[in-house]
Order: sequence, then structure tokens, then C-alpha cells
Amino acid sequence: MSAQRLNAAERDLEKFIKYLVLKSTQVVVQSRLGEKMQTQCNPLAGSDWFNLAVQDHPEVLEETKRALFLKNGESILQRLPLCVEISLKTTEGDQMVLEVWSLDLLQPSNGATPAANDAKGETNGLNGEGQTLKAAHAIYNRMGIMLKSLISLTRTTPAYKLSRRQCPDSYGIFYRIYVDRPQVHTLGEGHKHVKIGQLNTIVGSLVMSVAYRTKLTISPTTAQAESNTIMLKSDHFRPATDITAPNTQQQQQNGTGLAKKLGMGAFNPALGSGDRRCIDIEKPLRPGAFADMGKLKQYTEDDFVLPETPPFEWLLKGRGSVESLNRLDNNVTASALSLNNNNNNNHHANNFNHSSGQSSNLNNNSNGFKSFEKNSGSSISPIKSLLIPATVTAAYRHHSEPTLQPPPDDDNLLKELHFPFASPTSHVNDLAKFYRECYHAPPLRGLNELQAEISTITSVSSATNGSGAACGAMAAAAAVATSAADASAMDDLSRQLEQFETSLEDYDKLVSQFGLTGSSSTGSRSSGGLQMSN
Amino acid sequence: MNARSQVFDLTMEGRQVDEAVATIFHTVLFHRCLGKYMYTGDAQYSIGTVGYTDVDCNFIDFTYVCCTSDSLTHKVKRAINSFSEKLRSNESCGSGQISLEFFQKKKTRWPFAQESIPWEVWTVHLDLIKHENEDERQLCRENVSDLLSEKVIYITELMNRHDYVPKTPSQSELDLIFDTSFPDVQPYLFKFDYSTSGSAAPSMGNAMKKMIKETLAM
Repeated sequence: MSAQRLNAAERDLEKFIKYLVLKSTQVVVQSRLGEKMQTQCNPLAGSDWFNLAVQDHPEVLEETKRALFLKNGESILQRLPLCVEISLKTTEGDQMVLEVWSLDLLQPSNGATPAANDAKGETNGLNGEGQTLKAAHAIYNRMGIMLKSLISLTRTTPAYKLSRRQCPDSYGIFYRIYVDRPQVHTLGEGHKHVKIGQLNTIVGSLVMSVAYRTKLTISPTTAQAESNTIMLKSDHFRPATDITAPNTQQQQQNGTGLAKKLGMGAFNPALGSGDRRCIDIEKPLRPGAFADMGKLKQYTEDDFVLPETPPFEWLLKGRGSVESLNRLDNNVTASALSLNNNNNNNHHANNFNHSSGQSSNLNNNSNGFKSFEKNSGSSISPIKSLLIPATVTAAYRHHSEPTLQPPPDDDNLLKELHFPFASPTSHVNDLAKFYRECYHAPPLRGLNELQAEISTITSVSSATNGSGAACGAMAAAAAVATSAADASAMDDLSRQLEQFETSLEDYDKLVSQFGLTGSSSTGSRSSGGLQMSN
Repeated sequence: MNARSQVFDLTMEGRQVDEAVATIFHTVLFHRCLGKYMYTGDAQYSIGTVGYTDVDCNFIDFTYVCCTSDSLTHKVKRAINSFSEKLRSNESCGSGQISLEFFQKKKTRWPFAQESIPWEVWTVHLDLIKHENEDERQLCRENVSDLLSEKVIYITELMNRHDYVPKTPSQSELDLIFDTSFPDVQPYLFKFDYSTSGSAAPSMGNAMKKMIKETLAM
């Protein structure tokens, strides 16, 4: 009779364990579906196992039953441990086992132990870690708590977060139910093991546990081990198999499966040289993603042909055209002809001088200046130009004939006056104008007085009389037309220097005065220079 | 009788407090809730089903499970809210503790109130920190999440020990063990208690009140 009762209890227990297994797999798999779960309380109906509302997913139930493979009347105790393996699979085919949930039944080591535990449990009362439960309701409640723990714990492992973030574009979460020892070696190194609960019963200790991966990076070794498609998978370089029909190729790549696409690339003989992406100018350019198709300009073959006239031709407006410029340059080899040209240029230059403040002529400033410098040889040299010691004709400078007098250093100065992209209306032009005005600022009155003093001492050449004497350092610049004038200018300068040196004491006094008052930075600067030369 | 006591020390930002405490308390309560007892006869009863709900935290990268019971959730939320408001208030110096205490009542003779005997206390001790920059905050968000995972694992471990829980009584004494006020679930009797370091005086007053009460109760 006692044996019968024991059998009845065992049968109950088997039933409990079976349902615990079925509910556990449901809980684990449902927690990995990637959605938030909610089951409703039902205070009236007590039909749910373990008083917990765990829905049964028919597919999971089927899978669990298939794994258990229970024949009629066969005990579930022989079919444990049962494992639920959760794995991740990327769209590229990489796979990684994330965790293994297992329910195991540890058989008592020998026949005497359960009996001893039994006796102990009865004498010691309810407290005690190794207590064996006999009462059906106690086991049932304990299983309920174990299942609740399982529900709570399934939300804490890293795989839960991954499963919530899964999407068909990147990766999916898969499960596998099997009856075997948990295969923890697939979890990589450093995996963690958590025991959810242990329940000592008369048939053995029921242990629920989970082992989960902590390193959540797909290692290259696993990817290679799976297959050697990693080489083929690289689509950084599109195989240029069909240059003449790039659009159709594009469609094929997007539409067909990976393997097929890769196969096409791998077996194409043209691939060897085709790894580089060719830019085919004949291929119609495709518009950007959000480009308005109506506003796009259709390029025709005409657009690729360079025009006869070079770009930025307007820069040469002073000359009219490139042809005229070339003609000019060819002509100047003969000095006589160049004189003629110079006369022409003088005309231009004079025009420019008079209208230098007007914006209409400013864009050809370089030409204007160059032609203007040569103009300084004539008697009408305005004050503005005096800082530029132009000595040769502009026409020569255009091609720097070595046989002729070498161009002066003022090319550097002129370069600063080039405003290549300036148009009559642009702001750059204003800048150019401003620069030019500053550059040719009228000399200081004080400087004029000084110059007047100097002019009384120095003998000024005929070429630099009048306006040339009006300006300070400009004696040199004004003496431009002939080499004789140059020489006199040099004399002039040396005399000037002498003059400065003789009046050095006066300057020193002046500076010391400035120093006492502690002002006038310009004064101190000029004196500094003089002292250094001293 | 000695109650089991568990203390969790947590350090986090003020806005994470509610969710962190809720995670711990709801996990405990989920384990300590039974289905509603429906008595069909004096000794016969059926037990209802407990549903569960996933709750995503806003300020912590974490999801916890609680019973699907609005009234229970509301009660827990209210207690945690008043604690966290006090903890985060200006008077507070940024640390405090809240406890979830399971108790059973004992009938006493008329002039004295019913005695409450705690049998399990879960305490969360909190220290608030402030983060200088977003990187730190992000790091902490992950840290707190890991910490909570650890705590939940620890809670489940404790729950599966064969520790004392009050026995189910007869129908007439059900109220002495369980909180039967909820329409959908039936947790063991529980209450919340909290104190913050900034408000020493009122908590002291509470302690004195409690002492006097206890003396009287005896």
C-alpha cells in the first residue's frame, strides 16, 4: 500500500515535471520573440498550471514534445536534461549561440540518500536547504516560484536585449530544443552559469539553470569555420562585368541572392582587371537620390567639347582676344613694331588712368597697369603711379625676352593686384579698388615738405621735374624713361641717404622726445630703423 | 522572531531611482504574489492565475517583470514616488533607503492594535550621483543595468531557497497573511518604509513613534 502511494506520488511528480518542462520552454522561447509580453491575471479560473498565465505557443509546444519524444506511458524522467538553446543568426549567415537554458534531474547517488533526506526533512521541519519535498502542493508551489524566477531571469540576460532589437534586416533569434547535456562549449570563453533553482524531490533534484554568453562579438574564426564564403562576401568592389550595361548589372546585384551574385562575380573572366570601378564618360550620369529630375540639365556631347575661346577670356578684355595677344607678342620681337604697339597701348593706358576709379575697367586691371607703367615714360606721369618704378615697356614684360632688359622686381607687386575671378559687380572688385586706392594713396603733406627740402639740395633730372619732385621717395620712380634718368635717380637716393645720416642727431632728439611723451608709434618705428642703420 | 533582511546598495542618478527600486520590488512581489483564493467551501478553494507584464525602463537599459495588476502597480509606484521625490529634493543630501517589508498580523486582545510581525525585509539603499557629461551618463546607464541584472539574479536565488513563508491559513484568517484588497492578485501582506538622510528629524520621530507603539503593543 505504501508502494502504491509512492507510485501515485511519483506519477504526480512526473506530471508536474512534464508541465514544468513544457511551460519553461514556452517562457524561454516567448521571451525571445522580440516583443513585450503581457498575460492577464484570472482570479476565477484556476486551470492554469502553477497558477501562472503562460500562454502556449502551439509551435513551441510541438517542438518540445518532439524533442522529448515521449511514447505512451514513458516517463519524462528518462528524457531529462532538456535544453533550450537560443542563438543569433545574421543575415550574412553568421551564427552564434547565445544561451542554453536547461532543466536537469540529478539522480540521487544511492538508494539510501533519499530516505535519509526524507527522515531529516520530517524531523527538521520546513527549514533546511537539502530538504526533500513530498507534499504535492509544496512541490507545485515551488515549481511555480521556479517558473516565476525563470520569467524574471529571461529578461536579464544579454540575449533578451538582443532579441528585442532583432529585425529581419540584421539578425534573427532562433531556438532549438534538444534532450542532451547542455552544450556550453558553443558559448565561447567567459560564459556565465546561473542556477535558477533546485528542487529536491523523491525522484531526484530538479535543477533549472542557464548558461549564457558574455562575449557578444562574432569572431572571425567562427565565420570562417562556417564556410569560406567570407572572401566572396566582400562587395566593396563591384565586379565590373558589364560596363556597357551598368544599369542592368546594378539591378541584378540588388535583386538576386547573395550566392548567385557572388558566383557571377567569381566566375567572370573579365573580373581580373575589372575590380577597379571604371568611370565611363559615355555612361549617362545618374541623378542623386532627391534630385529634381525636371531641373537636371541633360548633357550632350557638345558639352564635352572645349570651346574655341578659352575660359576666363574676359580677363584679357584689354587685349580683345587671345589672337590679338599672340599677335602682339610675336610682333614685339622687333623693336620698331613694338614701339607701334606701345603707342596703341599707351592709348589704352591713358584711358585707364583717367578712369581708374570706374569699375568698368577694373577687371582688366593687370593689363591696364602693365600698359600704364610703360606709359610713365611719357611726360604725363601722375602721382599715383610713382611707387611703381616701371622701366621697360609692358609689351616686353609679357613674354620676358631675355635679350631685352630684364623685367624689374615690380612683378611681385603687380601680382598682388591680380584678381583673377573679379567681375565688374563682385565684391572682390571693391577690394581691388580699395587696395589700389590705398596703394596709391596721396603722399603725406609732411613728406611733401621734406621732399621740397631735398629737391633744393639735389639736382633733379629733367625727366622728374614738376610732379616727380612733389613726392618723397618718388624721385627714383619718376626717373624712368632712360637709363640716364635711372643713374640720376641712384645719385638722388645716395644723396638722400647722406642727407638722412647727417641729420641723424635731429632724428635722435625727436625720438627721445617721443620716448619721453611715450606716444607716436610711427615715429619710434622710423627712428628705430635709422638707429639700426647707424 | 527574526525577519530575513536583504539590503541592496545602489548608486545612480536621481531620475533612475524610481525604475531601479521598482525593478527590485516588483521582482520580489512577483514571487510573493499568489493567485486570488476563491473559496468554494470552508476548506475548499481554488487559486486564480497570476499574469505578468514586461516593463521597459526609460532611464535604465533594462526590462523587468511585474504582476499584471494595475492596483498593485499603483500602490508600489506611489510609495516609490514619494520616496524618490524626497530623496531628490533640495533638503536631501542624496542618500536614503526604502524597504519593502512582508509581515503577518497577529490577533491581540481588544484595547491593543493588531501586531505586525515582519518576516522578510528587502531594503534598497541609494546614493545619488550627478554626471558631468553624456559619456559618463551612458556608461552609468549600462552599469546600472548590469547591476540590476545581478540583483534580479540574486533575488531569484533567494526565492528558490527553502526559506520560511507563512502557511496558508483558513479562510477566516486569510487577511492575517495575505493582502486581499487587490482584485486580481493576492500578495503576502507588505508595506513600504523609507527614510532619507536629509530628513533626519521626521525619521527620528517615526522611530520614536514606532518604539512607543511597539511598547504599547506588548
